[in-house]
Formats: sequence, structure tokens, C-alpha cells
Amino acid sequence: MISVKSVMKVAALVATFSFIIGYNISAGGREMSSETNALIGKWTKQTTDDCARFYPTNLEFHDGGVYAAPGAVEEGAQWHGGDWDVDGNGLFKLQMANDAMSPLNLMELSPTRFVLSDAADCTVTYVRQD
Amino acid sequence: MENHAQNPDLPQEIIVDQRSDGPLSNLRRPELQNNYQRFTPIFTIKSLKKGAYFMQWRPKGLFWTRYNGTMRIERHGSGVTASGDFYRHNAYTFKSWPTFQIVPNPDPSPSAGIPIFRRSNYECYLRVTQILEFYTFGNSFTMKFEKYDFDTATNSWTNAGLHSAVMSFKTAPSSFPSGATYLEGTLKSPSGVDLGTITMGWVSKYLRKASLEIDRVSASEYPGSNGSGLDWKDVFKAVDWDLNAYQSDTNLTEPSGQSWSDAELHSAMLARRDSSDLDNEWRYHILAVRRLDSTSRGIMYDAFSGDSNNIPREGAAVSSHWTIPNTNTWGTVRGMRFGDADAPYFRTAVHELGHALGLYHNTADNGFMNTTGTIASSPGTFPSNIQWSFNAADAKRLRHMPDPWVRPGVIPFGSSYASAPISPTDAMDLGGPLELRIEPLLDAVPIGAPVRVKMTLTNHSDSAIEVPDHLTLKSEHVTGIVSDPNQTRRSFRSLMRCIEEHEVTVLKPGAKMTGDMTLLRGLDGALFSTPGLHNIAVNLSWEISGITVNVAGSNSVMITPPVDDAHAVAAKATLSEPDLLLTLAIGGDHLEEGIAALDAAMANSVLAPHFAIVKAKQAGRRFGKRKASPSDALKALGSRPVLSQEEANRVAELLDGAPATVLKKAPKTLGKALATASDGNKSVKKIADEMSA
Ligand SMILES: [Zn+2]
Repeated sequence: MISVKSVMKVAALVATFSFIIGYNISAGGREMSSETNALIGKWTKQTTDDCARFYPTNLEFHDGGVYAAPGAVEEGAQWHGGDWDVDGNGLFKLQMANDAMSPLNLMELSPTRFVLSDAADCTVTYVRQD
Repeated sequence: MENHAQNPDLPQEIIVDQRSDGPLSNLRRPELQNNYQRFTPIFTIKSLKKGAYFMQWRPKGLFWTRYNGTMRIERHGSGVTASGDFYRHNAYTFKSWPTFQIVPNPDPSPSAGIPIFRRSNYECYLRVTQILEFYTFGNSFTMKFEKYDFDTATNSWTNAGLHSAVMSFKTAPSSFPSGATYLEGTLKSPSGVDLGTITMGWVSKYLRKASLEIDRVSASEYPGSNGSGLDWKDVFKAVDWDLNAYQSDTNLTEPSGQSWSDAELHSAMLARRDSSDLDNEWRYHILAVRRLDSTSRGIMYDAFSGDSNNIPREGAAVSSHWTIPNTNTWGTVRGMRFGDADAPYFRTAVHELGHALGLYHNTADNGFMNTTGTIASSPGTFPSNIQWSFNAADAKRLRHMPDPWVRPGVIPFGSSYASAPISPTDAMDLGGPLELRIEPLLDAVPIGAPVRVKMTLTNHSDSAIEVPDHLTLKSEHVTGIVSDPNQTRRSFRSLMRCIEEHEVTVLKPGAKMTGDMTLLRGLDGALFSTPGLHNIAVNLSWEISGITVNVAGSNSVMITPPVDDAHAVAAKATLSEPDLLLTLAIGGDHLEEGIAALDAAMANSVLAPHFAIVKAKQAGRRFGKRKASPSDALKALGSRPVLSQEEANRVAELLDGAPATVLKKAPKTLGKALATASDGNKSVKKIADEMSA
């Protein structure tokens, strides 16, 4: 299923994780980790660093593996909605504007906030809207 | 758009070929051709053909430089959307040693269809805000556009202001397709400076053209159609693109197993595509491979860090061997290999090309730029819930975003839509050459009262047009329909068939004419018999040299409910008595039922002001042995009658010659009401002044 190259990429990213939960649950007809459930809902970007400008202000993670990013196209973000997943290894994937499932690190996840970091070491914090 | 001329009886496209014998010899509608055989045409009707135009601007005083480009004209339900792009063109090349010659650089050949220009010569975008929307009786129209200059260093646009040109229809040079619309004008800067000559001539019914090469590995299917008869040509024809999609290589070598990295996709495109001259062709490339490293279904890899040659949006890829999850979300294709599921596989290929064309995800509907996952999760069964078209906003972008946004190799993928200009959807500030404005005298009218409506006909064209000499219900040119709050439609037209002569008058360019009508009943009964919002649609129709010309306008009026029992009883009398309409229209003492209903209305304080002029006319005119009585007329008018301009003029006629002593007894508010309604009419003002004296 996964090519040799992407497994190597995953391994490199996993090494940087600070927060990994290993067990899976099944929900919505697909394998879901507990991170998946914890991320469902509406989030707002808190980080204002320049490197975070490509991340959408609003993220809405839905059950069923799709997310929306209201206003993302207008603000010039590079994630406009599509598929999302946190796999069994804790790798956070978010369909980019060109459909690449860019791998991100989920650095921290709590009921009220999550922190991601990307390959360029940009760290972005989101807080729950409600 | 509400009051714009709608010309329902005229074809949208009448092409006038001035090279032929008669000015109207190539009308495309046979029924109109018959008309022309019966009548001698004395004028021409012209409109803009939809499609792409080759456009050229020759700046004043510049021998060497000109600007070549295209203008795209789209027609749709609410009018016209138009946009254009200009590229610099050196008219000559100077050849140095040993020839030392000046050699002309040819312009593109208009007979070759939509011209393609060098990316590096890109100059500006034309955001067209005004253009001929329907048709003109004259030979010219004003075109206005904001000129957005492009900065190649920053890929950004700057608005250089609203430019304009009065474009005149000319005979197309022989290099253009037969029957091509051809226009010429002088381009004016925002401050009115002559910037030179601008010409545009029709070259294609399509707005844009491109090629799509699809290469594949032998194990992957060719994504050529959705399995139900919809192919690339159809998808893009729907947005006025002439897309030439074709399969080329069918046995690409897999560089490192079945799954391809973005870099491998990019190098395969460079190595295997049939041609790469993006300055001569808008060429896109799609690879169909078994699997993709970066994603499951498809990717427009030529973006962000995947664009290794810094020529953005040249290529995309789809994967045929992704297995669709075996869950209910995936409907009838659950568990299938993606390449075997024709519909979603082809959809993804179109979606990826959409990204290469500069489009982003759009979740407004289940159209091409929504994501597969979002559609599968949406109501309905996948893949039958796929919408096989682009969302309207994306279709507009494909038609009208600036060339550098859409064509490959200029603006990188990922810039905000807001960073580029795009034309407004309705290019017209003005309607057709003629506009009919419909304005109720009062926004709210009590139930049982007639509704007074003012009609204004304006000539927006630059030539004089023959129109009916009066805008009135007493001519058969005016007809209309009132829709009540339940959408029940009741029509109205003149009671006066053939009473008035059908005189015509000439409305000069920019001139207006006005007329009033008082609406109460129509052919199907009372027009305003229910409280609530009513729409009044008026059609003005007449003939010019054998062609029926229609101008339509509409507006709404609120009918308020009865305020008390007395009002309700009076309203019942006025709404149910058919003869009241005749009393209102022609007056006289002989219509007993009509008079009875009128008196019932006059006895009610709510309705009396609305019927006062009808009663006044009855009293103020002689009928049989009964003498005209100005003082009875004055009494009937009361203190605050509701009067149209036309009715105010009638009051002046009725009271003309009335003794000053009678006029002085009139309430001051009546003089004021007359003066307001008269809109400057001198005889009305005289009477009003005497009342106030
Ligand atoms: Zn996409």
C-alpha cells in the first residue's frame, strides 16, 4: 500500500514527534485514531508568525475524513479543504490546495488546542472555536 | 437589471454584414428575413457576436510598438461579461549587419482562430465594465474598461484607470472569418487623452483554446470520459473553451516501482510531452500512473516545491490503482480500483486540470472543483451525486480571469484570487439602447384604490430612434401584467382599441419621454385585489419598418389592507364593479353602476383622495343637459387628492376659466398637491398660484 519512499519519509517525521497515541478505533467506516476524534470540530489559528500565513484561519474537521477551511481561498492559504487523517503513527495529513496529502507533525493535542509543525519547522497553534 | 430593456422578440444575435448588398442580408433568423422581404429596411440592428475577438491597440505616435490581444465576449441570462488581455508587439525588427533592414513582424492571422501570444510580452488585463449588451440601432457604442497593468517581477496588477472607446462597426478586413463582427474606435485615457486606435474583430465562437496531452503507463486506464458519454471536449465546451485532449504515450516506464514521486512526474512530463512551446500553445499535460507518493487519487504536482523548473501549472497526474475504500461513503464504487470507476476517475482528471488552470477547491456545489472526499461524504449516493460541471464562479474564472492566471507558465499556483482582477458579471451599466422605467406614484396604496404608474422611456443609444408619440394606456402600444402576492397574473391593456392614431415620434440620443397610467382593472378583473406586494410589468411594443420592437420594465407596489370596516366595504365596491374602469377611463354620467361605485369610494375617507380626480372630471365636464361645474369639481378634489402629472394637467383644464373667487376657496393644500404633481407645467402652476393667492 505505501511505497518504500513514503515509509522513509514517515519514519523521518515520526522521529520528531513529541506526542503519539498508538491505538486505533473504528468510526465512520474507516480506521480512526483517538486524535481523529479529538480533532473533530471547529478551530481557529492563533499563530501570527509570518511562516504560518499559508495555514487557513479556520479549520473544520468533520467525521468521515473531510475538512473545510472557510475563507481559505480568499486569504491565500494553501489548504482549501478536502481529506484529512491522522494515521496510526500519529502522522497528520491534510489535503493541500493541489491535492497533495502533505504530512504535518501533530506536536500537541488537547480538547482546546492543537499544535502542528511542518517540514520547514513552522509551528502553528489552533484553538477550539466553541 | 430590473428596468432594462429585454427585447424578447429580437434575436440575441443579428449580424450585419456590410460587405454584402443589403445592410440586413445575412440575418440569421428566417422569420425576420421574411419581414425584410415585406418591408424596406431603413436602419440596421447590430449586436456583438459572442466569442473571442482579435484585438489590437496602435498607440498614437508610436511607430514601433503596438499591443495585440484578445477580447472575450460571453452572453448569458443577465447580459454580457467581457474581458481582454493585451501583449506587447514590436511591429518591426531591425536587422543589423550585414542587411541593416527593418523587417515587419506579422500580426497573428485572424483566420487561424484564437491567437496565442508570448508570455513575456504580457502587458495588461482589460476589466470591461461597459459594452454593447443587446443591440444597437446605430453604428457604434461606448466600451469602457479598467486597464490593469501587469508587473512581471511581482506577478501583480495595478489599476491604471477607466479607459473608454466609442467603437464603430466596420467592414472586417478579408483576413477575418466571413461575417466577422469588426469594430474600430479611439482609445481614451481616464482623463480623455487620445491614446490611439483600438480594433477588434471576431475570430472564434470559443473564448479560449488549449491542448491537453495525456500520457499513461500501460497498466493505467486513459481517463477520457465519465463512462456516460461526457468527455473532455464536452466539459470544456460548456465553459466556451476549445480543448483538444488526446492520448499520446501509452507505455511510460515506471522509474521506481508503481508509485511516482512529484519529481518523477515532473521529469516524465518534460521528457515525454509532444511539445513544450507555451508561447505558441496553451498546453497542459496529465499523467495516468498506478500510484502517487503524495496522495491517493490525483495531484497537480506542478506547484509549490513540485514545480522544479519554475514554470508553474504545466502538468498533473491521476492514479488508477488506488483502491476506493470499501465503506458506504463510496456508494456504488466502494472497493473498486479507481481506474475501473470511470466516473470518479475522469472527474479527478478534470479536477487536476482545473488546478492547472488556476482553480482552487470550491465546496459551493458538487462540481469539478469540490474534492472527491467531500462529494462522497455529501448527501446522495457516490458517484451519482457528482455534478458534471464547474461551479458558476469557477466557470467565470475559466472564461475571464487574466491570461497569466489561466495559461500555463506564468502565475504560480496558490496566489489568492483577490490578487488578480476579473470583469464584473454584467458589463452593462446601461440596458439596451432603450430603457423603460416603471415607477409607481406611491409605494403603498390602500386596497380598493387605483395604482398610478409613471413610465419613462430613455434612449441610451447614440442615434435617434422612432418611438410611439405618447406613453399611455390609451394607445395599444402599452400592455402589462400584474402579479399579485400569490403569483396570480392579470393582464391589462388599452380599452381604446384603435381610437388614437398610431403616431410616432423621434427620441433623440440621451432623450427621455414620460407618460402616466392609472391601473385598476384588467381583462381578468381587479388588478390589486389582495393586500401585499404586487409586481407591475409593462411592455411597450411598436413597429419600426416592419420589425416589432419591445421594451419592458417592471416595478412593485405594496397594497395595504383595509384600515376599518368602512374602508373594506368601499374597497369591495370599487374592486367588484367592472364599469368603474370605464368611468375612470372615459367618465360620463351614463354608467350608473360605475358612478355608484365611484360615489361609494368618495364617501370613504381612505379611498376618496385616490378617486377625487375621477369625480372631479365628472363634475367639471358637461354631460347632456348638465352643465360643467368648476366649483363641484373643486369640491370633489378635496384637500389632498392623489394625482399623477397627467391628472394634474386635467385639473388645470377643468378649472381653466373658473372665477378667481372659486379658486380662492380651494384649500391651500390642494394648490400644493397640484404644483407637486404638475412637475413644472405652466397652466397647472397658474391655477395652483391662484389657489394660494
Ligand atoms: Zn484538488
